[in-house]
Amino acid sequence: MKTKRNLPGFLLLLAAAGIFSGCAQTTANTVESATPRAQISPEQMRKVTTDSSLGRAVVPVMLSTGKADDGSTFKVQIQVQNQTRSTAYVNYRVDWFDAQGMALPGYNPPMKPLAIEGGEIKSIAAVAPSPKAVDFRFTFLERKGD
Amino acid sequence: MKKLTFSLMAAAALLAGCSEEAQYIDSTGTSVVVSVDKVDIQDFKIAADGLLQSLYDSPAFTNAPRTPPILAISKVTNDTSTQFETDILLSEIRSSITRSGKAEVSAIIGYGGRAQDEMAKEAKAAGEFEAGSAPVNLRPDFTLTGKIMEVKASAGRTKQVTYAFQMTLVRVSTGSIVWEEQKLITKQGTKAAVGM
Repeated sequence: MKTKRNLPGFLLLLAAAGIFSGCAQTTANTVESATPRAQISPEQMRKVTTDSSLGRAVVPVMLSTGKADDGSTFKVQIQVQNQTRSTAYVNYRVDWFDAQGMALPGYNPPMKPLAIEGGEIKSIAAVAPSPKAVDFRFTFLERKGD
Repeated sequence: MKKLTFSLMAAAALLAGCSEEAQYIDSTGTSVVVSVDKVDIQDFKIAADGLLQSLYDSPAFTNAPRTPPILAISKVTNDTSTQFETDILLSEIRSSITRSGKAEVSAIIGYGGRAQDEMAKEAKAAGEFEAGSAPVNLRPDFTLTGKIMEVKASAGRTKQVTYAFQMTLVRVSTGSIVWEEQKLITKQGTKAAVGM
């Protein structure tokens, strides 16, 4: 009799537990050297944010440039942090421009999928597809349906 | 009567909203169809871009016997359960390498002695015959081979497929691998969807 009276409450608790376990958020904890040995060449960033929710899910924290192993090809790396508590599913693309500011002819960069856990920092590196490339632009888009 | 007219109009409006007419979309954009059981056009582009980024980041073409070195495209094997033209991937790779200036891609040396451009091969031979000169040795400095494989998994109604795009660059003079890369593309879902 007592069990019957408590059944709705029990079911509610069960449902709540199910919902919480299904929505369990995973966020990333990181550990790194306090005195990095890498010689980083950080660059100033110019950001244009048109999507505020994406702006918190993909926050650029460092932009650096360098050369590929062949010693001549331009290389760029951006570190982005997801400053929310849930996993962000985004797409990104890197466009390359020559010394005249023209998009490299014949190069159609594809949108690439990227998943970043809450709090996680991810490094995205890109190597120029031609020695003519001197400038670049990263574009981030929220995944469709999110 | 008024009610019926209104209901019909509402239904028509709903149906018009649901139908999708054919339209052009950007093949490198986010509005493409994503399938769970086959390789999509964007998968080729993403894989090729990732493989090329790795190749350009490596010193593979440095210390080549000539500048630019000559590259011959060997065989790309499709080891997946679906049939597709591997040349979609190869054409991305070939055109990017050519544009980058890092190597020249041979059109007259191919896998199994087959040239990509038979006419160019014949024209070269005819030119050498007419000039009475010995054939110029155009042995490639590097060869590029590839393989595409798949690994499938499922949990309940959710299907998952991983495509592994592998490429290997071999220095012909030594026969050794100077660069190799694998790009994985994993897709998960119950059915195909529009948009990445």
